[in-house]
Formats: sequence, C-alpha cells, structure tokens
Amino acid sequence: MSKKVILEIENIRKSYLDNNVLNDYCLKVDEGEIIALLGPSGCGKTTLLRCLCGFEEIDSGHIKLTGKDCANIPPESRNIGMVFQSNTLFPHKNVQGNLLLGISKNKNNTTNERIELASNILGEIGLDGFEKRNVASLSGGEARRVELARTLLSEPKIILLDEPFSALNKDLKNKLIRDTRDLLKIKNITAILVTHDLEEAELFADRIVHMSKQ
Amino acid sequence: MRKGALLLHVAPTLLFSFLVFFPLYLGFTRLITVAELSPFAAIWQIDSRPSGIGAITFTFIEASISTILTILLGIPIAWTLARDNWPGRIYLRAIFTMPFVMPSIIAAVGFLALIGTDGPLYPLGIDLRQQSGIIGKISDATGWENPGHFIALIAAHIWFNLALTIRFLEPPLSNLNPNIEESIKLLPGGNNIFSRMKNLWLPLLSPNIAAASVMTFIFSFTSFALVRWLTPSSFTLERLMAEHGGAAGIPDYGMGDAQIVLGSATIQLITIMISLILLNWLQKRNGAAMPFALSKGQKRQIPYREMSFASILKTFYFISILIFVLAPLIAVFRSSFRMRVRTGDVGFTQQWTLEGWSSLSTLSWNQTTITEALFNSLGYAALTLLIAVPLGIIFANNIHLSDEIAKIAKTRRKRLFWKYWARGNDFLVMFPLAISAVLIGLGVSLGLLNTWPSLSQRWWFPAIGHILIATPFVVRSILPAIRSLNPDYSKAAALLGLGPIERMFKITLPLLSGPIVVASSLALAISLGEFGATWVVLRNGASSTLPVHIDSLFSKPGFDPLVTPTAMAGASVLMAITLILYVMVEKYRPDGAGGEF
Amino acid sequence: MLSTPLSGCIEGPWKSEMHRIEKNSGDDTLRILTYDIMALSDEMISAFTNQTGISVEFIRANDAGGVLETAILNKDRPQYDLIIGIDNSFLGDALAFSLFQANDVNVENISLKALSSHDGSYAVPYDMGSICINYDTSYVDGENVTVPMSLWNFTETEWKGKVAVQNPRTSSPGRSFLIATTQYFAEDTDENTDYTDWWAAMSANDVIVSSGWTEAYETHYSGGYGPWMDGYIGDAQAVVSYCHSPGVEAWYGENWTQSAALNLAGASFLQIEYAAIPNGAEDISQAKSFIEYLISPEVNSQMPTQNFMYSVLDGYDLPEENGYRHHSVSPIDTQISSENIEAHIDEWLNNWDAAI
Repeated sequence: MSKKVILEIENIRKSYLDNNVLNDYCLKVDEGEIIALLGPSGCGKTTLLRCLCGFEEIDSGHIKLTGKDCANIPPESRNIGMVFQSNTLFPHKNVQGNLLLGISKNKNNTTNERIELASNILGEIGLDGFEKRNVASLSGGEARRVELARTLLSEPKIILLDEPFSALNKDLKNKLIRDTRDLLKIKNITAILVTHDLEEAELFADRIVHMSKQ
Repeated sequence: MRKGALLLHVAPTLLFSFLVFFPLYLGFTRLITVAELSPFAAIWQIDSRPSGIGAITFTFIEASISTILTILLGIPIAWTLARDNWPGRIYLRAIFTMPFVMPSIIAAVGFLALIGTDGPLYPLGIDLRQQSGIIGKISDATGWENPGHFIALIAAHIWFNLALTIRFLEPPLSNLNPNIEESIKLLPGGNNIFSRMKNLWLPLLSPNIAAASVMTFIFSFTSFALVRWLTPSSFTLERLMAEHGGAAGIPDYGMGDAQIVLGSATIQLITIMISLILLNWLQKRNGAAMPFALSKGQKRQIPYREMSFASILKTFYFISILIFVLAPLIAVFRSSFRMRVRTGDVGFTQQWTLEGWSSLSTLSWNQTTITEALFNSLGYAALTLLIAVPLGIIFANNIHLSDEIAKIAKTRRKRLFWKYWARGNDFLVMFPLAISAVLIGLGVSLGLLNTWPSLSQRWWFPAIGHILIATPFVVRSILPAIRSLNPDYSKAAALLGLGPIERMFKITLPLLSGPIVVASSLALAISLGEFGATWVVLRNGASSTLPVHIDSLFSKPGFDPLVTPTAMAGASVLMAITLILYVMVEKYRPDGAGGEF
Repeated sequence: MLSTPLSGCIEGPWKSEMHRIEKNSGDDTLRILTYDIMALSDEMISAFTNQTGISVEFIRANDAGGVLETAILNKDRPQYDLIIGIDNSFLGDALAFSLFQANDVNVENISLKALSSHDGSYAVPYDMGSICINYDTSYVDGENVTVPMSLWNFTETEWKGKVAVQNPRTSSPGRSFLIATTQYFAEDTDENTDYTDWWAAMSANDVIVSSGWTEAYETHYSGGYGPWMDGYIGDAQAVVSYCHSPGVEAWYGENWTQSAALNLAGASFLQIEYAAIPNGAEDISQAKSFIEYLISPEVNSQMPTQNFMYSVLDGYDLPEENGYRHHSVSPIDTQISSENIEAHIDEWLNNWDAAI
C-alpha cells in the first residue's frame, strides 16, 4: 500500500521578538500515521501546533495540507482538529451540546441524525448515556474523552493533541492513551501528539520525532 | 460562633435594614393614608394629571432606548479594550469609565452647555435645542417636537452608563482561556463569526450583558437631575415623585400629589424588583463557572497593527467615544468663562470673562456661597467615608464568611441558612442603589421627618442618605478582594499567635489596603455627587450641598448674567474634585478587577 | 454693572428703633423657612445681623408651594421661627390650617394695595408684583400680529403653540395666573363662557405647559434672556411672568429688551408675599424684629433692585434707571380675597386639570 503524504512542513521559521522558536523546521506526515513530537518544554512543540492550526502566522516557509499551501487559510477552514492541554469543553453546554458543535450541519441534515451521531461516538469512547451530563461534573479522563470525541466528530484531516494526557494520573493515562490510539487507528485518522514524556510517546505513536531547543 | 462574632454579623444587618426599610415603611403608610387609595389603584391616577400624562410611557421608553444603545456602543469598546494590546489602553479605559462617578448634576449642565448656541454642536449644524438643521428635518419628518432634547437625554444616559458595559464585559473577554476560543474555531459549530457569536460569545457573555443592561436600565429609569434639566417638559416617575413629594404627606391637602407619588413609587419598586429577579435568574441560568485563564501567560492579546482597515476603524471609533466622554466636561469648564454681555443695538453676545470664578465665594444664595456649599459637601463626604467604609467592609466580610461557612456546613439546613444569609445581606446592601435616591429621600422626608421633625436640625442628618447610597459601592469594591484573599495568610498568622482582632488589623486590612483606597474614594465621590436624595429632603440652607446648590443657582431666574458662569464655575470645582478622587480609584484598583463597579 | 447692583445703604435711623437682642439671651440664631430661590440679597441679611446680633439661617423648601406644605407638615412644632415667601394665592390655605399666630407688627406704612388681600394681622406683606402675560415684541410687531385686546386672542391660530404657561399645581406664577383667569372670564361681557372654556381652547391651541417659571421663561420664551441660555427652545412668543419682568430685563440689558408685558385690565393677579410667625415658634421677638426690618423704609425701598419685586410701602416705585420702570406695566389687577381663593382653589385646579 503506497502511503500518501498528508502534511508537509517545509523550512518554517517562527520567532517572537529576539527569540527564534522555530528555525527552518521540516516534517512530513503520512496519511493515517500517528506520530509523537517529543521534546523539553520551550522547544517549540506547542508553537508548531499553533502554526499548523493557523493561530500563529509563520515568518517564512510553507505548510502544505494534502498538497495545498495553507498560508492564507484561516484556522476554521483548514479542517484540522485539536485537543488542547487545558479543558476546552464549553461550560454553558452539556456533553451533548458540546458534541453537536463538532458536527457539520451541511453533511448531516436532521437534528435527530446529529444527536444519534453524538450518542454513537459516546459509545465508542465508553461514555454511554453521558449525553445530558453537565461538563463541570466530568472527571479529568472523561472530559478528555469527550473533547476527543468532539474533535473526531468534526472529521478533520489531521488531529493535533497538545499534551492532553499530562494532567491525568498514571493508570488512567495509560488506558486513555491506548483507547485513543485504537480509536484513531480504527478510523484511520492522522494524528500528531505533542509530549515531553517518552513513555507516553512510545505507547501512543508509530513514529517519534525529537525536537530540541533551537 | 462566639458572642462577639455573632454581634458583628447581626448588628450591621439590623442597622442597615432599619435605615433602609423603616423610612420606606413609614413613608408608604403615610402615602397610603393621604392618598386614600391602595398602591395599585394609585397607578391609574398618574395619567389623570397634566404633569403625569405619558410619564409612565416616557420612563419605560427612555430607559429602554438608553439601555439598548449603551450596550451596543459599549460592547465594541469592552471587546477592543480586553483583547487588543493598544498603547495607553489602561488610560483609555480609565477615561471611558470615568463618567460613572461624575455627579449627575455635572452631566446635566455639561450636556446643556454642549447643546446651547454657545456650545460646539450648534456651529456644526446639529441644533439639539430648536428645530433647525438636521434635528429640524427629523422633527418635520416625524412630527416629533423637540427631538433634540430627547436625543441629548439619551446621549447623557449613554455617557453615564457606558462604564457599566465596559466594567461588566471586559473581564470575561480578557480573562477567557484562549484555548476555548481557539477550539471552537476548529469545530464546524464555530467555523464562522456568526456561529461563534451564537455558540460561544453570546452564551458566555449573556450573564454579564444582562447585568450591565439591568443596571443601565435601572439607572436610566430612575434618572432625575438629567431629566429635570435636559428634557424639562418630560417626566420620569422619579422626577414626578421628587416634584410632587412635598405635598404628598399632607392629609386633606395633598391627596392628588400623594396618589401620583404612591403610584409612581409602586411602579418603580415593582419594575426594579422584576429587573433584579430577572437578572438573578439570567445569571443563574447561564452562570456556569467561567473558564478563565489560569495565569497571565495564558492570556493572548492581539498585538496592535498599524494601518490595517480594522485598526483604522477602531481608532476612529475610539477617538469618537473619547470626544463624546470628554466633551460635556470641557463644556462645563468652558462655560464658566462665558457670560452674556450687552452689545450693539439689540441683544447680547457671549464673551470671555473671569467673573464667574471671581464671584465663587461672593455670589451667595440664601446666605450660602458656593465655597460654603463645597465645605458642607466635603463634611458630608468625610462623614460618609467614616461610616460607609467600615460598614461596607464588615458587610463584605460577613457575606464572604457566611459563604465559607455554608461550604463547610455539615447539615443541609445549616448550609442553606448561611447561603441565604449571605445572599440576603448582599441583596440588602445593594437595595438602596436600586430603589433610587429620590425614593430614599422621600422615605426620609415623608417617613422620618414627619415622625421626628427636629431631626432636620441635626447637621449630620443629610448624611444618612449618602451613607445608604455609598455603602453598596464599598461592598462591591471590597467583596471580590476579600474573596480572592488567600485564607492561608490568616491561618499562618493565627499559628504565629495573633488573635482575631490583631489578625484583622495587622494582616487582613493591610492586605486589602488597595481596595480600601478604591472604596473610600468611591464613597467620597458618591457622597459629593449625591443629588436626588438630598434634593427632596427639607434642607437647612446653611448645610446645602454643592450639587444641590448648583441646581438652585441654575433654577434662579437668570436675569443676572453672572448666574450661569458662577454656577458653571461651581460645577467645575465639583468636577475637579471628583476627577482627583477618580484618579485615586484607578491608581489603586486591583489589576484585573471588574464585573463590579 | 454686571455684578449684583448694590446700593450699600441699608443702614440708618431704623437701627436705633430696634430693641437689640442680647447675645447671651440664649439662641441668637433666627431660623427662617423659605423657598429655594427666595432672593433677599446677602446684603439685606448681613445688615440685619450686623445691627441686631441675630444671625439668620434659612431652611429651604423647594418652592412657594413647598413652603406651605412644609409649614402644614410641621404645624405647631415648627423647626423655625419665621416663614417667608407664602403668597396670597396660598395664604388662604395657610390661614385655614391656622399655621400663623397673630402679630402686633405696625403696618401703617404699608400701602392699601399690599394689604388688599389680608390686613397684616397674621401675615405681613413685604413685597409684591403682578403676574400677567409677557410677549415678544419682535413677534407682536403690530402688523402681522397685533397686541392682543383680550385673552381670547391667544386661542387664535397666530398663537397656536406659542404661549407658555406654568402648571398651577407645581408653580406659584401658574397658580396666580389661573386665579386671574377665573375672575377675568367671570367678569367679562360674555355670559356663556368661563375660564374652563378658555383653558380648553388654549389646550386645543397647543398651549405649552411647563412645571415651573424657569422652564417656561428660559427654555420656551423667545422674548427674554432665554435665547442666551443653554437649554433654550424658543417655541413660545408669550409667557406667564411678572408684569415687571421686561423691566428687570432692561435693568440688566442697559435699557434694552424686546419683551413687553400685556396691559389687559383684570387679566393679571397681584401676588403679595408675606412674612409670618408660625404657631409654636420659640423666639417671637427675633422673628418680629426681622419682619420689622423687612418692612422698614430703608430696606423695603430696596426691593426692586435687591429682590426684583415692588416695595409694599407707599411712595416707592421702581427706579427709572436703565428703563426699569419704563418697561414695566402696572395693570388693573383682578380683585379677590385670600379667603375666596382658599374656598375655590381645589375646584379651579381640578377644572384646570380637566380642561388641559
């Protein structure tokens, strides 16, 4: 099976004031591949993810998604999903309300269909019957799962995970890492995990890319 | 709880309830006796009197329009102040929120000076006084008489209340965890600006928008000095109550007046209660904990970019608002140097003069000069400071403690008791602010003075109203600071052997020194600017306050050309003192504080 | 010229006639209840204090009606020894409530005109002035618009929306003018109409009703100093004010004014202001000295320039200076006793409400 390159990062540079965070950074990711970016804090991992999403403009270089340069595409149109380090479930909506925000209305016409999709994915992440739960009542692990599910529902080309597991305790963490990996593999979704934990990276990724301070 | 602590908990509540509700109760029973009608039946009498015709409609319409426009104009300011890293941002915010502490009489005469023929708008073709120019066309097209005065009133209400929108909306906008906003951009439910508005901003901001709207509505609804001077032909219920209040307490004589006042007071109380309940409900409904940024490092502010279309638009908007905020104040100051002088064959012209300022301490009115009125005002302000600030601190502390006790209470009953005790106290201290100054003043004059007339001779008597109105501001400034105080400081001090009183004076109060300066300055400013409550109470001329004195000077027949510049000079002095106090507030305002006043 | 005109001569033989109050005879402060814009000048008050050692303190109710209301509310337990500023449109009410005690002030110098409403036994007149309609002479030019010969002229189209009056419930000039109209239309030749018909016709002719004198005169009236005031609208070319208001305009305007008072027999009301000692007052002698001071020739003759009202004494007219007297009008006022006013005022006010 020939692998298709989904993401190409070519010589990107990003600096804040005098601080060069990214210096001619290059990376290629294949479709369906799960990679881990491993490195100490401050090495530019998070900045790289933010550049991929389009929250930060790069100073030079190219980011190509499925062959297209996405320099002028705003974050909301890049079709990239991201699970943030901190909890970003919207407190004014319940679990179902959060999940529904992830489903595009163009593809799924009726509300009932969308609700069904949301319930299905709750089953896949092991949170059957959580639809009406208040997000504030979720445990750390449950919240991470719901966020992952919300991101998956938006059918992104690629999912970025910014240290999503770092705040969890170890047993819960390993189970969640395995479950997440299995789910991504089943759905054949490309993913980039940012972490500073080697064990986490080995458990999750097909390939580990080391980053160091520039 | 020990006896001393219990006393400290119960005594302020009892005292404050007594000061707020007892005069109101006496006043209402008196009104009902004189009016010979029930409060609800009295409502129907308002429209039967020439001055009352249309007052109810006018009050609701001007308050609604003021509220909507204030919010719409304020949101872009709050948004930009919170999210753009502009140079001089904090100074801009200080200027934009300054009108809120300005005495209402200053706003009234400031806008009057703006719209006069000698003001800056008239040469620009915006004739808000008469029916010429743009305003004349509006008037011709709609058949609406003197729309300029109504426009000026709405503008003054916006000017006054803009601070509320900014203060309530800026914190959630600037403190929101930026990841929340970023994550919604990556989801289909937030991939354009409208869906983000619908799914994120409106629900997140709605409690604060509701709070700002309700407060703006209440302040515009109970507007008195501004209505009295800017739309002299129209009556808000507040103005009706103030101007009919005198006769309303006399049996067999003031029945008609009592009916008007009783009806107005009833509508006003009901409206304000409904507003407050609505606000509480809205905030509860949407009141999920705000996902605030954990640290400053997480905040991301958009760097200021020169020459982009958006930044030019923003700059233009900000400069317009800046002019809008400063113009009435500059107009007051300028008018203090302008006097009409007889010239030529017919009529007068306005000329520059220093006579307004030189007659500040000589032109007297009922034996009181402006300088004397200023010293009276400063005396009341000092008394207000001495009582309202400690009282407010005790209240804030009690509310916080009750909340804490409720959290650790072992039984449901205890928990509920302390929770409601905290909420009840919170409501109680805010009550005087909500029910309006005139209603407080009427409670005092119809209630207390009818029962104990000699009270009017006590020099400290007028300060009661000031204290009631200033205390809510003290509590609002202190409570958030007390809540965010790390309880470990007090615990550590206790382990070091300090008793509760020592802990209060050596640890807690010094830690709160910033907010206390803020609260004190606010209390002084509120007392100095108080108008409605003082105006309706029978006054000893020798103890007249500066805002009331300025009002009297403007009411004086203006045959003597010296009256206006002198009154404007007095207003400039009041304005300058308030500005100094406001600088103190801003200087010591804790960083990131907001959502209060 | 522009600062308060001062004669500085409020001294004189009067001083020797006064029985001086000893400073140590207890409270040497005289408390006077009055309205906000009562205009006895500072010089008048200071001279009194200098001569008698009695200092004066004012307690302020908002307006003339407010003074009466406060006096009724504090009946028999007043917080003041003297009430100043109740006029003859309110005096009947005050007497009916028995607010005042009889005084033995000598009123022989006071003119019969000033004693026409009340003989001075309970309340002593100290100033007066007639209330009538003032008009803008640049509008009433004698060609397009002629000087009205009857109040009925104001119900015609040339005056539609151009007349400003004060609400008689909230303003004492408004109340005075209402009283004048009740008599004017009762005494005219037409048997079929009365004041209610006129007020209804005025209402149909868009009469402007303001809550107080200041609003009517400064905001609405085009003939006075209003055009130079900030809140000016100028939609009225006639206003209810004093018949000597044009004189005061001229006094400050170097003999220039475009305002004139309408000299129409029976369409004006002579407002007389009184000083009275309330029942229950503690220090009657101090109050009496102040009243005597007010009506002494040295002080009362200053009323036109110090208080902008007529003196109540015989032989003191307005000064000629700056056209003060020339621009003022002394019309034939309507004649009505304060008892008569008290008996009917509620009825008139209610009919006025209904007509408007």
